[in-house]
Amino acid sequence: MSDWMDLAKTALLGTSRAPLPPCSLSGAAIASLLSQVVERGPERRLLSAAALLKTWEQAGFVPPPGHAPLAEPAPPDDRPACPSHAAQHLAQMLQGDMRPVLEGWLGALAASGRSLPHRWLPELLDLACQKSDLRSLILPLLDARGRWLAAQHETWQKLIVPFEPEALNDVWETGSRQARLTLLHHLRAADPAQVPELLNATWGQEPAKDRAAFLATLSTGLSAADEPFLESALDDRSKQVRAVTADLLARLPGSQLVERTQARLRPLLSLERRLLGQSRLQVSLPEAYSQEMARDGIEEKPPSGLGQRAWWLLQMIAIVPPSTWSQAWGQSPGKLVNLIGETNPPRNREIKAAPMWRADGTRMSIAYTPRESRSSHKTEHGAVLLEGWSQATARHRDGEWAEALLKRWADNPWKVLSSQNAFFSSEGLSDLVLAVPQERLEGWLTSLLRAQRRSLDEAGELLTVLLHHRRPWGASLASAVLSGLYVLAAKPKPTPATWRWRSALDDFARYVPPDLVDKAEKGWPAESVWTKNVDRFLTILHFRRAMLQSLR
Amino acid sequence: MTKVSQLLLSRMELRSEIGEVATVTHWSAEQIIALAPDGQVAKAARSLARPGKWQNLGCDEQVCWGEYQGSGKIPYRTAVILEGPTFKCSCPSRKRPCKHSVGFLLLLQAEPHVLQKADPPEWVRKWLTGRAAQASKKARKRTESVADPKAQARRAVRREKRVRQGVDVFASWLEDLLRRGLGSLQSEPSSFWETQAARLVDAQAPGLARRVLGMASIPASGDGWHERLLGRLARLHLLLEAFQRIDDLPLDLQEEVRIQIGWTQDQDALRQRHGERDHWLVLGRRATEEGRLRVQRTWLWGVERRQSALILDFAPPGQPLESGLIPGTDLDAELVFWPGSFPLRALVKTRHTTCPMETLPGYPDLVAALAAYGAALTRNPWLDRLVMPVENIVPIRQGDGWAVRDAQDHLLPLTVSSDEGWRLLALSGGHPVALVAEWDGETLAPLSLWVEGELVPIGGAQ
Repeated sequence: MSDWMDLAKTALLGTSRAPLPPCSLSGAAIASLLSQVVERGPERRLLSAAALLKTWEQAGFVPPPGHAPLAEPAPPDDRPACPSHAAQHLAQMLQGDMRPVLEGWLGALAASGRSLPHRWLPELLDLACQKSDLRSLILPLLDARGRWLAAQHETWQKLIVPFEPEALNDVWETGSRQARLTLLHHLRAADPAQVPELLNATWGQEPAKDRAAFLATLSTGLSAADEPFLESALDDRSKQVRAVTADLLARLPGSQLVERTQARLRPLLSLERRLLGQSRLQVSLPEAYSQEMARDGIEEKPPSGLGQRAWWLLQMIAIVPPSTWSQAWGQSPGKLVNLIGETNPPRNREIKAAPMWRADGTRMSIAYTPRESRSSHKTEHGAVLLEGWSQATARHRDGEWAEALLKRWADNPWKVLSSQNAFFSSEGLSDLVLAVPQERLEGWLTSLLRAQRRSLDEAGELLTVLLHHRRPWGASLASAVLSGLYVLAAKPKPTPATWRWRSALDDFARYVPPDLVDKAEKGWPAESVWTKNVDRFLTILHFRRAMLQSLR
Repeated sequence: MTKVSQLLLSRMELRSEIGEVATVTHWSAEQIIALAPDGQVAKAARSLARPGKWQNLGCDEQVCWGEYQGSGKIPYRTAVILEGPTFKCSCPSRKRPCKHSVGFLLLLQAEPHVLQKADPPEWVRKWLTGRAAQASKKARKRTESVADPKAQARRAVRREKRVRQGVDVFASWLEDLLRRGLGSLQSEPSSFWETQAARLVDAQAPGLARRVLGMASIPASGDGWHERLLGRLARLHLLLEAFQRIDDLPLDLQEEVRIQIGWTQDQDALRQRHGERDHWLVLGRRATEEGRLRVQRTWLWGVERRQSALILDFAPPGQPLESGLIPGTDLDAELVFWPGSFPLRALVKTRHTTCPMETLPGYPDLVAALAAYGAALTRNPWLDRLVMPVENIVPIRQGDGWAVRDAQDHLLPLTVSSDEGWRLLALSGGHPVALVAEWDGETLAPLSLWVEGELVPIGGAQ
């Protein structure tokens, strides 16, 4: 080797400046060959010797022995392997454009009891680190191999290795923000009571941004035990921290914050019973804004378009469990939401109402008749009440109220906040939809769809609800949606409303039962602006069917 | 009946009997997707692979066909000869295989029951007879086109002379480089190498030009660059020396030297030669950019011969590379090797049947594999790299990098990205597996891993 290095040194400097090394130290065989290198000029001699040495070295290369002990290999697989077809589907989801259906695949794999394909573990572990919604699906699917692999990776190991009690304080006191957040998430799942304790210890030293982020981890496993700490955090100097705290306390049905708010609301809302005719809801607005209200997270300044006092009322109603009202007044949620009369400036109800169609396709001319249950009396601030109830229902996941509010909204939507702030355009709506038992939700949606089959473009509210119904759909709901869409797609002129339905196909494709795919192939107009969306819709459905079949 | 179509039909029967989902071809969806010339075609093909889009589907022993109803009035007609595969589609796309062809194969793979055995329709028969006619015409042309032998000889002498002059000039440039020392090269622009390479192209020695171009990046490659460069220059010098006294060399080495310098082989003539029939396993492939050309190396392994073969494909950037040889398949075929002192590069003369690979026979350990490389190097000192299938290999992490350890506890570092390193670890689980890698005398770059009866491509290999 030193011969070679001598040669290389001379080559670097140039033969005009450095002498040609003698090259005699290598083994006898190569030395005799080297001695035969007799050529004109030192440059060619150098190159020939280098060629000889290099080839000699490479041709005779023997790898060095490995001294380090081998790491413990992975324990034997503890689950049957994923079928190769299923693994191919996974590859398509990870690499191609089928990524949105990955959740469905992971769910089906979990049901099959098989393990994740080892080949794609690196991508899946990366996803589990990056996306919290996928993490909870991927982690339970890790088999012996997956855990063995993750344990060796600096980032992945945080997914599986529990924190040692000794390391816990170290991480909390000196770790990075991310490490501390991870720690809190872990603890919250394992030993929820420890988190407020830990937070208390260093609370004064944390910057407001971190305090808010740490507090937010309490939302998992939230219980009455957290209340004392949260109650004290209501006095925090940061507005952001107070807002997170108030939201958490509002989600605790028996918290003092909820009780205080109930007490504030009680004099403002009442149900006036009448011997004859319908009961009436009476609403008065809060008179003044107090420091106590501010402490409980009620904001003083309203968003534009809403009066100050109505804004205070809305926020307070949003805190209190909606069952408070149905119990106090002994009325069902369905009845209560309909006691509130017209919430909008009168529209042409002829359009809004569900037109009736005869079997032969002709339209029956019936005028709109308000539901009997709906009060002809208009409740003052009724829209504020409905908006607040909706937020409260999403917060407290009340199924009965959720159903009543959804129906009321789809039938006769209210508008109290600008569309950016309104509850029904927020992500919170999916909580509301999720709160309704699936069968009831789908039964209602299906009958609505059947009634409005010919005029889906006028049923924007229905579409909004469908888009937030993010669970595998039943067959009758899916069929009803399809029938409506066929009619819509055949309409000659695209409008913004038909466009909305058309682009919703991408979302629908994730929830429509894939067994319907053969039916869904037919019924569309031959060539239209819909073709591209329908193609993609069917492609996803096909993919989902094949994907589920290979895991069956 | 070919093995593939037997397989196809038996699978179809299987499907109809027990209603089980089976593959129509032995290819996986991943392998079929890899046939697509680019990502766009792959994506489009996926969305075409639905039975509702196709009509008049059928197959016989040789060929499958179907009609795709696109946005136009007249459906596109797509047919595939599974052996090959060879595609035909009536669509106007310039990309081949087109999205319909790839989508059609994907459909057959996912839903084999859509195919009915039938007599090929007129248009398929026409295509098949057209192909046959073209093949015989080409063969005829080949035998007819014996050019004027005198003129050919004159041209050969003229080229010989030009190359000789070019080599002489280049040899003195090389000597001058060593006289001045390599130290000055770090400040040279890449045009320094490009100019020299262009001169060699003018002198009709493209093989030398390619080697010179390959050196341009070495001075900037970090520690030990001068040793790496000296190694390359020395081997180049050896080639010049060999060429200058070519008449003294054995015949096969003479041919090797001429190929290395850049004399091309007439592939049609090669095809006329006797082929070596074997079960050739497609071990892996890798595409790299060389100058303005994409080069794809596909490595085959002869089961009987225990010897590798290299299929090279070239394409300008953006153009699809030939992709008919699918890693993980076992090809009963005749290969013709380029002549030379260590025949390696080859072309497929005749394909008989294709089926999935069942085992990966390799060297028992790293020492045996490296010994085979050493033996090859003694026959062809200009060998760039060789494929090494090695059994009983454990991929391990070594510091920040990756390595493999064999049954004899020998250790060799791997050149592999971090992502692919973790994949090796995930697939092997710290247990011995069989690895296919390229060895260039310095580094070991994995191409694929054989694990649980499946060949998995690793890192950059398609």
